[in-house]
Amino acid sequence: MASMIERPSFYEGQILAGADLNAAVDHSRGQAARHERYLHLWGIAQGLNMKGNDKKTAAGGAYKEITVTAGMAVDASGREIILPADTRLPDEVFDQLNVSVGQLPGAVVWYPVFVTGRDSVPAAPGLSVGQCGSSEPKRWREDIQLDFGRPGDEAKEQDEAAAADGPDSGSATPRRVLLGFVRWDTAIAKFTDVKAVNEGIGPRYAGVQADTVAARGGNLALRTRSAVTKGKPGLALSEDGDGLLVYGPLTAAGVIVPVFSVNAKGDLTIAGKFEGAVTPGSVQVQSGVAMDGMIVPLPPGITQEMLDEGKAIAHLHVTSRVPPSVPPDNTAGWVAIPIECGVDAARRVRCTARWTKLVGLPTDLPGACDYLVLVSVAAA
Amino acid sequence: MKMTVLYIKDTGHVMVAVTRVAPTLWPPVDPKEPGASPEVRALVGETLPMRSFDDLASQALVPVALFVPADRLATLTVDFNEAQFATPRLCQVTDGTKLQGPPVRPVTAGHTLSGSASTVIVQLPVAVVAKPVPVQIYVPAVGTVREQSWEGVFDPDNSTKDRVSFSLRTALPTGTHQILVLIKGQFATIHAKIVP
Repeated sequence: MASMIERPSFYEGQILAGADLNAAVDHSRGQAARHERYLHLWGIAQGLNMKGNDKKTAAGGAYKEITVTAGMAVDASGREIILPADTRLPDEVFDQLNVSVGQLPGAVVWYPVFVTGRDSVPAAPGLSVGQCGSSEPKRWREDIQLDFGRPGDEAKEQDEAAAADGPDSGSATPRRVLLGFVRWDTAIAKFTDVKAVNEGIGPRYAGVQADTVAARGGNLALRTRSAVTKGKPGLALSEDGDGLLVYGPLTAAGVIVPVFSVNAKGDLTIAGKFEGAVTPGSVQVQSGVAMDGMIVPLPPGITQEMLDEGKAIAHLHVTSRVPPSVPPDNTAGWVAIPIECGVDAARRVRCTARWTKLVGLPTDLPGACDYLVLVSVAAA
Repeated sequence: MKMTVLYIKDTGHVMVAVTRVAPTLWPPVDPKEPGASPEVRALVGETLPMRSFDDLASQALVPVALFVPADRLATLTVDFNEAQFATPRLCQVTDGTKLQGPPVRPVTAGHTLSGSASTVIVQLPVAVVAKPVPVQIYVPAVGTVREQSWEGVFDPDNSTKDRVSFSLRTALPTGTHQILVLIKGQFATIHAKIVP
Protein backbone atom coordinates (compact mmCIF):
# COMPACT_ATOMS: atom_id res chain seq x y z
CA MET A 1 0.00 0.00 0.00
CA ALA A 2 1.26 3.46 -0.83
CA SER A 3 2.27 5.48 2.19
CA MET A 4 -0.19 7.98 3.61
CA ILE A 5 0.48 11.64 3.14
CA GLU A 6 2.09 13.37 6.11
CA ARG A 7 2.56 17.04 6.76
CA PRO A 8 5.17 18.46 9.09
CA SER A 9 4.24 20.05 12.41
CA PHE A 10 6.44 22.30 14.51
CA TYR A 11 6.58 23.25 18.15
CA GLU A 12 8.22 26.04 20.11
CA GLY A 13 11.90 25.43 20.68
CA GLN A 14 12.15 22.65 18.08
CA ILE A 15 15.46 22.38 16.36
CA LEU A 16 14.53 22.25 12.71
CA ALA A 17 16.32 19.79 10.50
CA GLY A 18 16.56 20.24 6.74
CA ALA A 19 14.17 17.32 6.28
CA ASP A 20 11.48 19.13 8.29
CA LEU A 21 11.65 22.18 6.08
CA ASN A 22 11.80 20.05 2.92
CA ALA A 23 8.72 18.15 4.08
CA ALA A 24 6.81 21.42 4.35
CA VAL A 25 7.78 22.36 0.80
CA ASP A 26 7.10 18.87 -0.56
CA HIS A 27 3.67 18.72 1.06
CA SER A 28 2.60 21.93 -0.68
CA ARG A 29 4.03 20.84 -4.02
CA GLY A 30 2.31 17.46 -3.77
CA GLN A 31 -0.99 19.06 -2.88
CA ALA A 32 -0.75 21.44 -5.84
CA ALA A 33 0.17 18.61 -8.23
CA ARG A 34 -2.74 16.45 -7.11
CA HIS A 35 -5.08 19.39 -7.55
CA GLU A 36 -3.76 20.00 -11.07
CA ARG A 37 -3.98 16.31 -11.88
CA TYR A 38 -7.43 15.47 -10.58
CA LEU A 39 -9.39 18.70 -10.81
CA HIS A 40 -7.86 19.77 -14.08
CA LEU A 41 -6.77 18.15 -17.34
CA TRP A 42 -3.09 18.48 -18.14
CA GLY A 43 -1.82 20.47 -21.07
CA ILE A 44 -0.77 23.96 -22.08
CA ALA A 45 -2.28 26.64 -19.88
CA GLN A 46 -0.78 29.73 -21.49
CA GLY A 47 1.52 30.57 -24.40
CA LEU A 48 4.08 27.97 -25.55
CA ASN A 49 3.28 28.61 -29.20
CA MET A 50 5.88 27.80 -31.84
CA LYS A 51 6.59 30.51 -34.41
CA GLY A 52 8.96 30.36 -37.36
CA ASN A 53 10.96 33.24 -38.82
CA ASP A 54 12.30 32.89 -42.34
CA LYS A 55 16.11 32.86 -42.52
CA LYS A 56 18.80 31.93 -44.98
CA THR A 57 22.11 30.18 -44.46
CA ALA A 58 25.34 31.69 -45.73
CA ALA A 59 24.99 29.48 -48.79
CA GLY A 60 21.47 30.77 -49.39
CA GLY A 61 19.53 27.80 -48.06
CA ALA A 62 16.12 28.75 -46.69
CA TYR A 63 15.25 27.66 -43.18
CA LYS A 64 13.17 28.77 -40.24
CA GLU A 65 14.38 29.92 -36.89
CA ILE A 66 11.72 28.67 -34.53
CA THR A 67 10.84 30.35 -31.29
CA VAL A 68 8.74 28.96 -28.46
CA THR A 69 6.85 31.73 -26.73
CA ALA A 70 6.87 32.11 -22.97
CA GLY A 71 4.11 30.32 -21.15
CA MET A 72 3.05 27.59 -18.81
CA ALA A 73 1.92 24.02 -19.05
CA VAL A 74 0.98 21.33 -16.58
CA ASP A 75 2.25 17.82 -17.28
CA ALA A 76 0.48 14.53 -16.60
CA SER A 77 1.95 14.35 -13.08
CA GLY A 78 0.53 17.78 -12.24
CA ARG A 79 3.94 19.43 -12.42
CA GLU A 80 4.06 23.06 -13.50
CA ILE A 81 6.31 23.70 -16.48
CA ILE A 82 7.12 27.36 -16.93
CA LEU A 83 9.06 28.89 -19.79
CA PRO A 84 9.79 32.38 -18.49
CA ALA A 85 10.84 33.97 -21.78
CA ASP A 86 10.59 33.37 -25.51
CA THR A 87 13.20 30.74 -26.37
CA ARG A 88 14.78 29.64 -29.63
CA LEU A 89 14.13 26.00 -30.50
CA PRO A 90 17.70 24.60 -30.60
CA ASP A 91 18.37 23.00 -33.98
CA GLU A 92 21.81 21.94 -32.75
CA VAL A 93 20.12 19.77 -30.10
CA PHE A 94 17.86 18.23 -32.71
CA ASP A 95 20.94 17.45 -34.80
CA GLN A 96 22.84 15.93 -31.88
CA LEU A 97 19.93 13.72 -30.89
CA ASN A 98 20.02 12.09 -34.34
CA VAL A 99 16.23 12.23 -34.45
CA SER A 100 16.19 12.40 -38.25
CA VAL A 101 18.36 9.34 -38.84
CA GLY A 102 16.83 7.40 -41.69
CA GLN A 103 15.00 10.38 -43.16
CA LEU A 104 15.06 9.99 -46.93
CA PRO A 105 15.95 13.01 -49.06
CA GLY A 106 12.80 14.81 -50.12
CA ALA A 107 10.59 12.97 -47.63
CA VAL A 108 8.04 15.10 -45.78
CA VAL A 109 8.49 14.14 -42.15
CA TRP A 110 7.01 16.05 -39.23
CA TYR A 111 8.83 15.57 -35.94
CA PRO A 112 6.94 16.25 -32.72
CA VAL A 113 8.33 18.87 -30.33
CA PHE A 114 7.70 18.50 -26.63
CA VAL A 115 8.36 20.44 -23.49
CA THR A 116 9.19 18.59 -20.29
CA GLY A 117 9.80 19.74 -16.74
CA ARG A 118 12.90 18.59 -14.90
CA ASP A 119 14.55 19.39 -11.59
CA SER A 120 18.15 20.50 -11.92
CA VAL A 121 20.74 21.97 -9.58
CA PRO A 122 21.64 25.54 -10.46
CA ALA A 123 25.32 26.36 -10.63
CA ALA A 124 26.59 27.86 -7.37
CA PRO A 125 27.90 31.40 -7.70
CA GLY A 126 31.67 31.77 -7.50
CA LEU A 127 33.12 32.05 -3.98
CA SER A 128 29.77 31.15 -2.47
CA VAL A 129 29.67 30.23 1.21
CA GLY A 130 28.57 26.67 1.91
CA GLN A 131 28.68 24.13 4.65
CA CYS A 132 32.01 22.35 4.64
CA GLY A 133 31.79 18.90 3.16
CA SER A 134 28.14 19.18 2.13
CA SER A 135 27.23 18.16 -1.38
CA GLU A 136 23.51 18.77 -0.95
CA PRO A 137 22.05 21.47 -3.19
CA LYS A 138 20.51 24.52 -1.59
CA ARG A 139 18.17 25.11 -4.45
CA TRP A 140 16.38 23.04 -7.06
CA ARG A 141 15.74 24.76 -10.33
CA GLU A 142 12.39 23.90 -11.89
CA ASP A 143 13.97 23.59 -15.30
CA ILE A 144 12.40 22.93 -18.65
CA GLN A 145 13.66 21.02 -21.61
CA LEU A 146 12.59 21.36 -25.25
CA ASP A 147 12.61 17.83 -26.53
CA PHE A 148 12.12 16.11 -29.89
CA GLY A 149 10.49 12.82 -30.77
CA ARG A 150 10.22 10.46 -33.69
CA PRO A 151 7.04 10.58 -35.78
CA GLY A 152 4.38 8.73 -33.81
CA ASP A 153 5.75 9.64 -30.39
CA GLU A 154 3.08 12.32 -30.13
CA ALA A 155 0.38 9.65 -29.92
CA LYS A 156 1.99 7.62 -27.12
CA GLU A 157 -0.02 7.28 -23.94
CA GLN A 158 1.51 8.34 -20.64
CA ASP A 159 1.35 6.30 -17.45
CA GLU A 160 -1.00 7.62 -14.81
CA ALA A 161 0.60 8.89 -11.63
CA ALA A 162 -0.24 7.07 -8.40
CA ALA A 163 -2.97 8.76 -6.38
CA ALA A 164 -0.72 10.07 -3.63
CA ASP A 165 2.22 11.05 -5.83
CA GLY A 166 3.47 14.59 -6.03
CA PRO A 167 4.94 16.09 -9.19
CA ASP A 168 7.54 14.08 -11.09
CA SER A 169 11.12 15.27 -10.86
CA GLY A 170 11.43 14.68 -14.58
CA SER A 171 14.72 12.79 -14.25
CA ALA A 172 13.50 9.21 -14.64
CA THR A 173 10.43 9.34 -16.86
CA PRO A 174 9.98 12.83 -18.24
CA ARG A 175 6.36 13.58 -18.98
CA ARG A 176 6.07 15.24 -22.32
CA VAL A 177 3.68 18.00 -23.33
CA LEU A 178 3.33 18.33 -27.11
CA LEU A 179 3.95 21.81 -28.53
CA GLY A 180 3.74 21.11 -32.27
CA PHE A 181 5.73 19.72 -35.18
CA VAL A 182 8.80 20.71 -37.16
CA ARG A 183 10.34 19.64 -40.45
CA TRP A 184 14.08 19.15 -40.76
CA ASP A 185 16.48 19.55 -43.68
CA THR A 186 19.28 17.03 -43.24
CA ALA A 187 21.48 18.81 -45.80
CA ILE A 188 21.68 22.12 -43.96
CA ALA A 189 20.83 20.75 -40.49
CA LYS A 190 18.10 23.33 -39.93
CA PHE A 191 14.38 23.43 -39.33
CA THR A 192 12.44 24.26 -42.48
CA ASP A 193 8.86 24.44 -41.30
CA VAL A 194 6.65 24.40 -38.23
CA LYS A 195 3.00 23.70 -37.56
CA ALA A 196 0.81 23.03 -34.57
CA VAL A 197 -1.28 20.10 -35.81
CA ASN A 198 -0.24 17.06 -37.82
CA GLU A 199 -2.68 14.37 -38.92
CA GLY A 200 -5.25 15.58 -36.43
CA ILE A 201 -2.91 15.55 -33.44
CA GLY A 202 -1.88 18.85 -31.91
CA PRO A 203 -1.10 20.47 -28.59
CA ARG A 204 -3.51 19.68 -25.80
CA TYR A 205 -4.60 22.48 -23.58
CA ALA A 206 -5.29 22.40 -19.87
CA GLY A 207 -8.90 21.84 -18.91
CA VAL A 208 -11.12 21.19 -15.96
CA GLN A 209 -12.63 18.02 -14.58
CA ALA A 210 -15.94 18.73 -12.93
CA ASP A 211 -19.27 17.03 -12.67
CA THR A 212 -20.90 20.29 -11.75
CA VAL A 213 -19.96 23.72 -12.99
CA ALA A 214 -21.83 26.40 -11.11
CA ALA A 215 -21.90 30.15 -11.54
CA ARG A 216 -22.15 32.54 -8.61
CA GLY A 217 -23.56 35.55 -10.42
CA GLY A 218 -26.43 33.80 -12.21
CA ASN A 219 -24.74 33.63 -15.61
CA LEU A 220 -22.60 30.74 -16.82
CA ALA A 221 -20.65 31.28 -20.05
CA LEU A 222 -18.59 29.15 -22.41
CA ARG A 223 -16.48 30.41 -25.27
CA THR A 224 -13.84 28.92 -27.55
CA ARG A 225 -11.00 31.40 -26.87
CA SER A 226 -9.38 32.68 -23.68
CA ALA A 227 -9.82 36.27 -24.75
CA VAL A 228 -13.10 37.65 -25.99
CA THR A 229 -12.78 37.47 -29.77
CA LYS A 230 -15.36 39.06 -32.02
CA GLY A 231 -17.16 36.52 -34.21
CA LYS A 232 -16.09 33.44 -32.23
CA PRO A 233 -18.94 31.35 -30.79
CA GLY A 234 -20.20 31.64 -27.25
CA LEU A 235 -22.80 29.88 -25.14
CA ALA A 236 -24.48 31.28 -22.05
CA LEU A 237 -26.85 29.87 -19.46
CA SER A 238 -28.47 32.67 -17.50
CA GLU A 239 -31.40 33.39 -15.20
CA ASP A 240 -32.85 35.99 -17.54
CA GLY A 241 -36.61 35.56 -17.73
CA ASP A 242 -36.47 32.64 -15.28
CA GLY A 243 -33.94 30.81 -17.42
CA LEU A 244 -32.37 31.23 -20.83
CA LEU A 245 -29.88 29.28 -22.91
CA VAL A 246 -28.29 31.35 -25.66
CA TYR A 247 -25.81 30.45 -28.39
CA GLY A 248 -24.27 32.70 -31.02
CA PRO A 249 -21.22 34.68 -32.11
CA LEU A 250 -19.63 37.13 -29.70
CA THR A 251 -19.35 40.86 -30.15
CA ALA A 252 -16.06 42.61 -29.37
CA ALA A 253 -17.50 43.34 -25.92
CA GLY A 254 -18.19 39.66 -25.28
CA VAL A 255 -21.96 39.83 -25.74
CA ILE A 256 -23.58 36.90 -27.52
CA VAL A 257 -25.62 37.73 -30.60
CA PRO A 258 -28.27 35.00 -30.28
CA VAL A 259 -28.81 32.66 -33.19
CA PHE A 260 -30.32 30.01 -30.94
CA SER A 261 -32.07 30.37 -27.62
CA VAL A 262 -34.38 28.40 -25.37
CA ASN A 263 -36.27 30.01 -22.51
CA ALA A 264 -37.58 28.40 -19.35
CA LYS A 265 -40.95 27.70 -21.00
CA GLY A 266 -39.22 25.66 -23.68
CA ASP A 267 -39.80 28.22 -26.43
CA LEU A 268 -37.10 27.72 -29.04
CA THR A 269 -35.96 30.63 -31.19
CA ILE A 270 -33.53 30.19 -34.07
CA ALA A 271 -32.19 32.66 -36.57
CA GLY A 272 -31.28 30.08 -39.21
CA LYS A 273 -33.18 27.32 -40.89
CA PHE A 274 -34.38 24.28 -39.02
CA GLU A 275 -33.39 20.91 -40.40
CA GLY A 276 -34.59 17.77 -38.76
CA ALA A 277 -34.35 14.24 -40.00
CA VAL A 278 -38.04 13.75 -39.64
CA THR A 279 -40.64 16.48 -39.70
CA PRO A 280 -44.10 15.28 -38.66
CA GLY A 281 -46.47 15.28 -41.61
CA SER A 282 -43.64 15.25 -44.14
CA VAL A 283 -42.64 12.85 -46.87
CA GLN A 284 -39.06 11.60 -46.86
CA VAL A 285 -37.43 10.19 -49.97
CA GLN A 286 -34.58 7.84 -50.76
CA SER A 287 -33.57 6.41 -54.10
CA GLY A 288 -30.66 4.68 -55.78
CA VAL A 289 -29.55 1.29 -57.03
CA ALA A 290 -29.48 -1.83 -54.86
CA MET A 291 -28.24 -5.33 -55.60
CA ASP A 292 -30.18 -8.53 -55.12
CA GLY A 293 -30.19 -9.67 -51.51
CA MET A 294 -29.86 -6.25 -49.93
CA ILE A 295 -32.48 -4.46 -47.90
CA VAL A 296 -33.72 -1.31 -49.62
CA PRO A 297 -32.31 1.67 -47.68
CA LEU A 298 -34.69 4.02 -45.93
CA PRO A 299 -34.52 7.81 -46.19
CA PRO A 300 -32.21 9.57 -43.71
CA GLY A 301 -33.76 9.75 -40.26
CA ILE A 302 -36.33 7.05 -40.90
CA THR A 303 -35.83 3.88 -38.91
CA GLN A 304 -37.31 0.42 -39.11
CA GLU A 305 -38.76 1.01 -35.64
CA MET A 306 -40.76 3.98 -36.94
CA LEU A 307 -42.25 1.75 -39.64
CA ASP A 308 -42.90 -1.07 -37.19
CA GLU A 309 -44.67 1.28 -34.77
CA GLY A 310 -46.81 2.82 -37.50
CA LYS A 311 -45.26 6.27 -37.10
CA ALA A 312 -44.33 6.21 -40.76
CA ILE A 313 -45.47 4.35 -43.86
CA ALA A 314 -43.11 3.33 -46.64
CA HIS A 315 -44.05 3.20 -50.32
CA LEU A 316 -41.54 1.30 -52.44
CA HIS A 317 -41.02 1.12 -56.15
CA VAL A 318 -38.33 -1.06 -57.70
CA THR A 319 -37.43 -1.57 -61.34
CA SER A 320 -35.02 -4.09 -62.79
CA ARG A 321 -31.85 -2.38 -63.97
CA VAL A 322 -29.85 -3.47 -67.01
CA PRO A 323 -27.00 -2.57 -66.71
CA PRO A 324 -25.54 -2.83 -64.10
CA SER A 325 -27.10 -6.26 -63.84
CA VAL A 326 -24.34 -8.15 -65.59
CA PRO A 327 -24.68 -10.99 -68.13
CA PRO A 328 -23.59 -14.54 -67.31
CA ASP A 329 -20.28 -14.08 -69.10
CA ASN A 330 -18.52 -11.43 -71.11
CA THR A 331 -19.34 -12.83 -74.53
CA ALA A 332 -21.51 -10.69 -76.79
CA GLY A 333 -25.16 -11.25 -77.67
CA TRP A 334 -26.79 -11.63 -74.28
CA VAL A 335 -30.27 -10.19 -73.87
CA ALA A 336 -31.88 -9.79 -70.45
CA ILE A 337 -35.56 -10.27 -69.69
CA PRO A 338 -36.61 -9.24 -66.20
CA ILE A 339 -38.52 -12.13 -64.72
CA GLU A 340 -38.65 -11.01 -61.12
CA CYS A 341 -38.11 -7.66 -59.39
CA GLY A 342 -39.60 -6.90 -56.01
CA VAL A 343 -39.02 -6.77 -52.29
CA ASP A 344 -40.20 -9.04 -49.49
CA ALA A 345 -41.75 -7.98 -46.18
CA ALA A 346 -38.31 -7.06 -44.88
CA ARG A 347 -37.72 -4.87 -47.99
CA ARG A 348 -35.07 -7.32 -49.19
CA VAL A 349 -34.55 -7.06 -52.92
CA ARG A 350 -35.23 -10.08 -55.08
CA CYS A 351 -34.36 -9.27 -58.64
CA THR A 352 -33.75 -11.86 -61.34
CA ALA A 353 -33.06 -11.48 -65.04
CA ARG A 354 -33.26 -14.25 -67.62
CA TRP A 355 -30.24 -13.97 -69.85
CA THR A 356 -30.64 -15.49 -73.27
CA LYS A 357 -28.94 -15.50 -76.64
CA LEU A 358 -29.69 -17.09 -79.97
CA VAL A 359 -27.68 -20.21 -79.25
CA GLY A 360 -27.65 -22.05 -75.96
CA LEU A 361 -29.83 -22.31 -72.90
CA PRO A 362 -31.01 -19.20 -71.03
CA THR A 363 -29.62 -18.51 -67.57
CA ASP A 364 -31.50 -16.92 -64.68
CA LEU A 365 -29.27 -14.70 -62.55
CA PRO A 366 -29.84 -12.16 -59.82
CA GLY A 367 -29.24 -8.56 -60.73
CA ALA A 368 -29.75 -5.04 -59.48
CA CYS A 369 -32.72 -2.73 -59.29
CA ASP A 370 -33.47 0.97 -59.24
CA TYR A 371 -35.47 1.78 -56.14
CA LEU A 372 -37.56 4.69 -54.94
CA VAL A 373 -38.73 4.84 -51.33
CA LEU A 374 -41.30 7.39 -50.20
CA VAL A 375 -41.99 7.46 -46.47
CA SER A 376 -44.91 9.48 -45.18
CA VAL A 377 -44.37 10.49 -41.57
CA ALA A 378 -47.46 10.71 -39.43
CA ALA A 379 -48.43 14.22 -38.32
CA ALA A 380 -47.76 14.88 -34.64
CA MET B 1 -22.60 10.77 -56.15
CA LYS B 2 -21.43 8.18 -53.66
CA MET B 3 -21.75 4.45 -53.46
CA THR B 4 -21.50 2.18 -50.46
CA VAL B 5 -19.91 -1.24 -50.60
CA LEU B 6 -20.34 -3.97 -48.03
CA TYR B 7 -17.18 -5.99 -47.61
CA ILE B 8 -15.83 -8.79 -45.45
CA LYS B 9 -14.06 -7.10 -42.53
CA ASP B 10 -11.26 -9.63 -42.24
CA THR B 11 -10.45 -10.25 -45.89
CA GLY B 12 -11.58 -7.06 -47.64
CA HIS B 13 -13.65 -8.84 -50.32
CA VAL B 14 -16.62 -6.77 -51.48
CA MET B 15 -19.95 -8.59 -51.54
CA VAL B 16 -22.53 -6.01 -52.69
CA ALA B 17 -22.88 -2.33 -53.47
CA VAL B 18 -25.66 0.21 -53.17
CA THR B 19 -26.21 3.85 -54.00
CA ARG B 20 -28.32 6.26 -52.01
CA VAL B 21 -29.26 9.60 -53.48
CA ALA B 22 -30.15 11.11 -50.11
CA PRO B 23 -26.95 11.30 -48.05
CA THR B 24 -27.35 9.13 -45.02
CA LEU B 25 -25.06 9.72 -42.06
CA TRP B 26 -24.21 6.87 -39.76
CA PRO B 27 -22.07 7.12 -36.65
CA PRO B 28 -18.44 6.22 -37.46
CA VAL B 29 -17.59 2.64 -36.58
CA ASP B 30 -14.20 1.00 -36.28
CA PRO B 31 -14.29 -1.92 -38.78
CA LYS B 32 -12.27 -3.98 -36.29
CA GLU B 33 -15.07 -3.78 -33.73
CA PRO B 34 -16.91 -7.08 -33.33
CA GLY B 35 -20.52 -7.32 -34.46
CA ALA B 36 -22.35 -5.60 -37.28
CA SER B 37 -22.64 -1.83 -37.40
CA PRO B 38 -26.12 -0.23 -37.50
CA GLU B 39 -25.56 0.63 -41.16
CA VAL B 40 -24.75 -2.98 -42.07
CA ARG B 41 -27.83 -4.17 -40.17
CA ALA B 42 -29.97 -1.64 -42.03
CA LEU B 43 -28.68 -2.78 -45.41
CA VAL B 44 -28.60 -6.56 -45.02
CA GLY B 45 -30.38 -7.49 -41.80
CA GLU B 46 -28.93 -10.54 -40.05
CA THR B 47 -27.44 -12.16 -43.16
CA LEU B 48 -26.73 -11.24 -46.75
CA PRO B 49 -28.04 -13.87 -49.18
CA MET B 50 -26.09 -14.27 -52.42
CA ARG B 51 -27.52 -16.09 -55.41
CA SER B 52 -24.59 -15.62 -57.77
CA PHE B 53 -20.91 -14.86 -57.60
CA ASP B 54 -18.38 -13.56 -60.09
CA ASP B 55 -15.93 -16.34 -60.87
CA LEU B 56 -12.82 -14.68 -62.20
CA ALA B 57 -11.34 -17.91 -63.49
CA SER B 58 -14.22 -18.68 -65.85
CA GLN B 59 -15.10 -14.99 -66.42
CA ALA B 60 -18.68 -15.91 -65.61
CA LEU B 61 -21.35 -15.50 -62.98
CA VAL B 62 -21.81 -18.72 -61.06
CA PRO B 63 -25.17 -19.43 -59.42
CA VAL B 64 -24.69 -20.01 -55.70
CA ALA B 65 -26.83 -20.11 -52.57
CA LEU B 66 -24.63 -18.57 -49.90
CA PHE B 67 -25.27 -16.45 -46.84
CA VAL B 68 -22.83 -14.02 -45.23
CA PRO B 69 -23.54 -13.20 -41.56
CA ALA B 70 -23.91 -9.44 -41.02
CA ASP B 71 -21.31 -9.39 -38.27
CA ARG B 72 -18.62 -10.34 -40.81
CA LEU B 73 -19.44 -7.27 -42.91
CA ALA B 74 -18.47 -3.62 -42.82
CA THR B 75 -19.36 -0.66 -45.03
CA LEU B 76 -17.25 1.78 -46.99
CA THR B 77 -18.70 4.77 -48.81
CA VAL B 78 -16.67 6.09 -51.74
CA ASP B 79 -17.17 8.16 -54.88
CA PHE B 80 -19.33 6.39 -57.44
CA ASN B 81 -17.36 4.35 -59.98
CA GLU B 82 -19.38 2.63 -62.68
CA ALA B 83 -16.97 -0.25 -63.21
CA GLN B 84 -16.70 -0.96 -59.51
CA PHE B 85 -20.43 -0.71 -59.02
CA ALA B 86 -21.16 -3.11 -61.89
CA THR B 87 -18.79 -5.79 -60.59
CA PRO B 88 -18.25 -5.10 -56.90
CA ARG B 89 -17.23 -8.69 -56.19
CA LEU B 90 -14.10 -8.19 -58.24
CA CYS B 91 -13.07 -5.39 -55.87
CA GLN B 92 -11.44 -5.39 -52.48
CA VAL B 93 -11.20 -2.91 -49.62
CA THR B 94 -7.73 -2.36 -48.24
CA ASP B 95 -6.96 -0.76 -44.89
CA GLY B 96 -10.70 -0.26 -44.39
CA THR B 97 -10.45 2.94 -46.42
CA LYS B 98 -9.58 2.20 -50.06
CA LEU B 99 -11.61 0.39 -52.68
CA GLN B 100 -9.44 -1.32 -55.29
CA GLY B 101 -10.38 -3.10 -58.50
CA PRO B 102 -11.80 -4.43 -60.62
CA PRO B 103 -10.01 -6.68 -60.58
CA VAL B 104 -7.48 -6.39 -57.80
CA ARG B 105 -4.09 -7.90 -58.26
CA PRO B 106 -3.58 -10.93 -56.00
CA VAL B 107 -0.73 -10.52 -53.56
CA THR B 108 -0.33 -14.23 -52.89
CA ALA B 109 -0.36 -17.26 -55.12
CA GLY B 110 -3.50 -19.28 -55.82
CA HIS B 111 -4.89 -22.08 -53.74
CA THR B 112 -6.64 -25.41 -54.07
CA LEU B 113 -9.58 -26.98 -52.32
CA SER B 114 -9.77 -30.59 -51.17
CA GLY B 115 -11.21 -32.64 -48.34
CA SER B 116 -14.10 -35.00 -47.78
CA ALA B 117 -17.84 -34.67 -47.24
CA SER B 118 -17.21 -33.39 -43.75
CA THR B 119 -13.99 -31.43 -44.19
CA VAL B 120 -12.79 -28.65 -46.43
CA ILE B 121 -9.07 -28.13 -46.81
CA VAL B 122 -7.72 -24.93 -48.34
CA GLN B 123 -4.13 -25.37 -49.46
CA LEU B 124 -1.66 -22.78 -50.68
CA PRO B 125 0.87 -24.08 -53.24
CA VAL B 126 3.77 -23.07 -50.99
CA ALA B 127 4.00 -21.49 -47.58
CA VAL B 128 4.02 -18.01 -49.06
CA VAL B 129 2.50 -16.04 -46.21
CA ALA B 130 4.88 -13.91 -44.19
CA LYS B 131 2.26 -12.88 -41.66
CA PRO B 132 -1.11 -14.31 -40.60
CA VAL B 133 -3.59 -14.21 -43.50
CA PRO B 134 -7.30 -14.69 -42.79
CA VAL B 135 -9.26 -17.24 -44.80
CA GLN B 136 -13.01 -17.83 -44.82
CA ILE B 137 -15.18 -20.42 -46.51
CA TYR B 138 -18.90 -20.27 -47.22
CA VAL B 139 -20.73 -23.53 -47.79
CA PRO B 140 -24.28 -23.47 -49.24
CA ALA B 141 -27.36 -24.97 -47.69
CA VAL B 142 -28.29 -28.28 -49.28
CA GLY B 143 -31.57 -30.00 -48.50
CA THR B 144 -31.77 -30.22 -44.75
CA VAL B 145 -28.13 -29.17 -44.27
CA ARG B 146 -28.04 -25.51 -43.29
CA GLU B 147 -25.56 -23.08 -44.77
CA GLN B 148 -22.20 -22.96 -43.02
CA SER B 149 -19.36 -20.46 -42.92
CA TRP B 150 -16.01 -20.80 -41.25
CA GLU B 151 -13.06 -18.56 -40.46
CA GLY B 152 -9.41 -19.58 -40.28
CA VAL B 153 -5.95 -18.20 -40.73
CA PHE B 154 -2.78 -19.11 -42.58
CA ASP B 155 -0.22 -18.59 -39.86
CA PRO B 156 3.49 -18.66 -40.77
CA ASP B 157 4.36 -19.55 -37.19
CA ASN B 158 2.48 -22.80 -36.90
CA SER B 159 1.18 -25.79 -38.82
CA THR B 160 -1.42 -23.74 -40.73
CA LYS B 161 1.21 -21.83 -42.66
CA ASP B 162 0.08 -23.29 -46.00
CA ARG B 163 -2.97 -25.37 -45.16
CA VAL B 164 -6.15 -24.68 -43.23
CA SER B 165 -8.62 -27.47 -42.57
CA PHE B 166 -12.26 -26.82 -41.67
CA SER B 167 -14.46 -29.49 -40.10
CA LEU B 168 -18.03 -28.97 -41.23
CA ARG B 169 -20.86 -29.13 -38.71
CA THR B 170 -22.81 -31.43 -40.96
CA ALA B 171 -21.40 -33.60 -43.73
CA LEU B 172 -22.36 -32.55 -47.23
CA PRO B 173 -24.59 -34.93 -49.17
CA THR B 174 -23.57 -36.47 -52.45
CA GLY B 175 -23.40 -33.96 -55.27
CA THR B 176 -21.63 -30.82 -56.37
CA HIS B 177 -21.48 -27.90 -53.96
CA GLN B 178 -20.38 -24.39 -54.83
CA ILE B 179 -18.08 -23.25 -52.03
CA LEU B 180 -16.85 -19.69 -51.76
CA VAL B 181 -13.27 -19.26 -50.54
CA LEU B 182 -12.04 -15.85 -49.44
CA ILE B 183 -8.36 -15.38 -48.70
CA LYS B 184 -7.13 -11.91 -47.90
CA GLY B 185 -5.09 -10.67 -50.84
CA GLN B 186 -6.47 -13.22 -53.30
CA PHE B 187 -9.44 -13.16 -55.63
CA ALA B 188 -12.66 -14.52 -54.22
CA THR B 189 -13.01 -17.99 -55.70
CA ILE B 190 -15.95 -20.30 -56.20
CA HIS B 191 -14.95 -23.97 -56.02
CA ALA B 192 -17.16 -26.78 -57.22
CA LYS B 193 -16.68 -29.39 -54.50
CA ILE B 194 -17.80 -32.83 -55.61
CA VAL B 195 -18.91 -35.25 -52.92
CA PRO B 196 -19.09 -38.76 -54.42
